Amino acid sequence: MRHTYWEIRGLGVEFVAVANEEPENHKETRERLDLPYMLLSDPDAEVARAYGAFHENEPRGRNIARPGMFLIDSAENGGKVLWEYVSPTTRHRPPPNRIIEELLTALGRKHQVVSVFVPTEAELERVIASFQDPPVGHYRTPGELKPGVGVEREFTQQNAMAAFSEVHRLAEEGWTLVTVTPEFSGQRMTGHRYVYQRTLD
Amino acid sequence: MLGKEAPDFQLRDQDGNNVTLRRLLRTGPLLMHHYRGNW
Repeated sequence: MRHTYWEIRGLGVEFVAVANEEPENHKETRERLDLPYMLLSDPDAEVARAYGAFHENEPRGRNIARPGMFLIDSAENGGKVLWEYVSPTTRHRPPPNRIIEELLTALGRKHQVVSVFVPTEAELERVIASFQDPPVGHYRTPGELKPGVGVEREFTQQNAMAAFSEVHRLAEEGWTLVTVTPEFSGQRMTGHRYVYQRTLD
Repeated sequence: MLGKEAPDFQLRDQDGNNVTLRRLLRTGPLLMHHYRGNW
């Protein structure tokens, strides 16, 4: 969740992790892994139960929390659950890209996003500064990209004319188109996902 | 749970401070990730 955290924050969403652990263990984990987000202690899994993110009959005989995610709207907007995912098993969780897509959909911003993938967090400020026209989405530092490889940028565009002008603008700025993938909602095509790369100066 | 008001809670953070859901929601939406701990 560490890299995804910055995308989530970039979307204006706060992020916390909750687990059946004591605060001292959380403190140690947070420092060891250099986690930027808050870890909350749910020692009796009461909150996990209240949210239905609890496995009552774990095969090995121990009741434990299931991985679960809940997007909750601001207090101002009523604090309602906008999106939820509870794993059917004690292990599985949705991949980070899927989480971001679900958040964008739930927040009504699916077709606005422009992500920038940055090789390392250390380069984040420099990459941000390199954009005269900042992306409306977020910055991201995935582990699979090696330092120095370049910057990857992806966005989903629903409107063909808007996509056309964006494609031209990116080409003029030195971006290389890597893939274009149609996206579907059921049988209906809803838009295209464009992935661009550019080498860092 | 979807579309319903999220149940409030008070839990301790990694430094032992009490944190409520309502307080976290004052600044905007929140993604809460339940995971199964380090056992």
